Amino acid sequence: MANNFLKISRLDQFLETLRLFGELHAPTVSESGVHRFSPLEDPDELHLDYRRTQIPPKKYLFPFREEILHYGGGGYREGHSSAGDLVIFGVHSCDLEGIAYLDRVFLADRPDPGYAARRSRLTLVGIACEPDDFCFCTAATESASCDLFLSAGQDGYHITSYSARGSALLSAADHLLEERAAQPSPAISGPCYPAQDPELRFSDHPLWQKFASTCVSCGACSVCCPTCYCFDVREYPTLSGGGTRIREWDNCLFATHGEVAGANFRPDRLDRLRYRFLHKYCGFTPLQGMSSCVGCGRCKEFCPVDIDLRELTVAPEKVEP
Amino acid sequence: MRPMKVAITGLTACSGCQLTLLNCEDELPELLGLCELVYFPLAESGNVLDAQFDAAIVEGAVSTPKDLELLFSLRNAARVLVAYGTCALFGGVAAMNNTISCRRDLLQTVFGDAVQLPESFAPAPLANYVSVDAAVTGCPPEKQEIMELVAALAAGTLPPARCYPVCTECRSRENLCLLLEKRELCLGPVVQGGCNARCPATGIVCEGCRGPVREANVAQELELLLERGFGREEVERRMSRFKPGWNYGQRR
Amino acid sequence: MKQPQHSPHVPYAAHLIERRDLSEDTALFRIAPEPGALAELSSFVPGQFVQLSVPDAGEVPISPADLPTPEGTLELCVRRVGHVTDLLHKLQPGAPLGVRGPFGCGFPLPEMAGHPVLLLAGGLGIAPLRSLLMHLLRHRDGYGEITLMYGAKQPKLMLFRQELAALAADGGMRLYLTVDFAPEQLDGSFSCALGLLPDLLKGFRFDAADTYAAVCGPPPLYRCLISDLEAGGVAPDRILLSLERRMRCGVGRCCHCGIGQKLCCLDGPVFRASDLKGIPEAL
Repeated sequence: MANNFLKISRLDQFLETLRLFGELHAPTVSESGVHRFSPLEDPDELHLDYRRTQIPPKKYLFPFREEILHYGGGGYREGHSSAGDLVIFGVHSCDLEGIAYLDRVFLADRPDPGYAARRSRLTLVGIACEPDDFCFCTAATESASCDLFLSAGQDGYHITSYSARGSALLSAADHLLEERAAQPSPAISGPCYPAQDPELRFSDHPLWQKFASTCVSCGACSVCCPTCYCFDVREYPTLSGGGTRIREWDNCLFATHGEVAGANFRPDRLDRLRYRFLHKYCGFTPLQGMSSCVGCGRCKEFCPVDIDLRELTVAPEKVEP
Repeated sequence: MRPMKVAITGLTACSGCQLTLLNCEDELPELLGLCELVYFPLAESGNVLDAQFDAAIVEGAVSTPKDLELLFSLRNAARVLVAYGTCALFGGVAAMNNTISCRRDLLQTVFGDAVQLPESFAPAPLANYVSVDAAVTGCPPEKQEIMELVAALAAGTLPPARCYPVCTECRSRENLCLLLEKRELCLGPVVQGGCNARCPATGIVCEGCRGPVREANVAQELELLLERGFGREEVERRMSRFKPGWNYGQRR
Repeated sequence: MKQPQHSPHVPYAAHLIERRDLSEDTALFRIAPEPGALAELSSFVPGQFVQLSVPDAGEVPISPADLPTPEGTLELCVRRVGHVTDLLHKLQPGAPLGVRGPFGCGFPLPEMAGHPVLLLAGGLGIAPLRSLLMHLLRHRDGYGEITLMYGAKQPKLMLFRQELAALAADGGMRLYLTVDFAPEQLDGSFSCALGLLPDLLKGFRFDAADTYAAVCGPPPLYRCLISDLEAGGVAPDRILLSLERRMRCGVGRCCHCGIGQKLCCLDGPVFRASDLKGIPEAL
């Protein structure tokens, strides 16, 4: 049996070993108090007891704004995707499943070059967590969509490798590990919220109208969602004569999302909410029939008007007149 | 390529938008390669007003007969008229009290009773008087958006519009939400983004300097702020700072 | 060495060969892509779309109005209606462009072989149907009777009218034209019905059970024509609709073009009426 247990006292040394595989990023807290993944300069900055970061690690693979093309001299060329080796430590299983979902979107048929380049240089180290009131999952889960996963044990972590790179990490850190009897690992997670009946989008649930009236279309639900990936593409000429085509995170609640020149196929906020429900819980081609909700609870926590689309799937309580 | 003939000027405004353009020092040489500045009084560069322009970039609100006269002559001479900055687009700071004060009283406060009062009317956006072809919002506009505009004009087009509120960029930057977490009077949800949430990134609420985002849910924003204990009067005063006359019942 | 796959984002270079005005706001653009684009373009099926790049403005999905020539030359019929098409309409021959594609699913030609085809076009909807028509006429023996019904608001907005009349005169197809109203005096060379497209269809006798119908036009037209065609006996899976959405990427990722759970860029833009049942937001 291989060494598979990391005592908490050796965590700092383990992190140093991870740095051999790329720039180390981990959950930290910003000056203003926001949880986020950021470069880990000092192990003291590590906040492993975090609940959720405001922005999921999708930002590393699919940045908010990216120059995808440059135009000049009569032709377009691929934008530069600067990808260095990156290790993200301390990712919860919901976020790992989020990345697994994005992989299905961006690495399938005709892979996205920028995403693929960054993904190939990304090492993911997951860690177990306990759900809070916003989480949609009810018990600790373990995700296999990573290189290593750390599940909490007495005075340390049981480590499971899920990839060749994970095994290489374990070998490199072997001197820090010891042998312990493996504990029964928790359920392997997947999409957390089950796929829903697409017909539900036309239900007469009164919350549809309520949400349509209270949603401020701020975009937070998509920005913070680990599996939202709608993007807008725009082109800007530059003063020097060339141009830049960017892609930027978009949100299906924005007025422009369903717009064509001269018409809008989703003219009302209600239409846009239905679209969100359908995409999130029922899936579009080629992922039709698949829910993309991994249960992180960000949309619920960060929505200014407390919209939780899952409530639409529960029959409203009958109110006596 | 022939450089485009451009007029840049201001009406009732602080000239801050024009200064922001002049502050783009790194880009000015390239910009001057694309533009012939036929009329730009602030920069003392060109004073020809009776020419035809490819573009007129106009800062400020319309509040005097002289403003109107200049605006009409620019409109007649320019192929593309750009409302440049929040005042030109929405009335801006000069218009904040339009709905609550009488112009005559204001003039008397400033000029007193004895002298003859200058002619002046409630500051209004350019579009109240002429057709506007393009807009750059902001108080002042973002440098990047100014450069995008000039580059697009030179290329015979306009920059594509951004249509999301300040919150979108604010969240993406991993800022602390001042509205939810600190219960401050932040206007982010109803205000046009594109500033990369410049103010909330430094802990200052969005004051709304870029004007309303498309289909802003104004009624809900008002409700959110009232729930957080702000008075209706205070909210309206803050919202009017850069644009008077919000429709507080608007949900889309 | 294995040729690296062409990035799905990067348009092939192209340039404008010529433009021909078809109406006040619509023109036919002939575009020559670089030779590298030919391998992909030669797989074009009528009804598919390409992503046309107009440098400095961006990209728009356009369904070609004819099959690409052997050299890859494309004919795109484009109305000046938005940010990108506005700049396109200002360009002179020789101007650089870009093209990606073709994308999506076109008309199911193998299945339509041997059957009569009824093409119903409203307004600019003639553009995608013209590529289908050209294919049918070039493979005339492979199909049954070919009928084009084309409705426009008024005579001057009727695109390709001389050309269509000439094609009909050759005997390969039947042509029925109609306009909503005719404010101008029609010259002798042009005659058409006065009324809406569904009116034209009502008086038309055809072998409905055997026919494939291809429809393209503004959304209200679809609703009307689908029910008329079905009532007339055309099977819903033989009613083919070319839908418009604003695809940003063309490869199923940007998710702006959802129609129910389908994506217009992958599953469409040509859909069967039977596939759209239960998707009220489709039309």
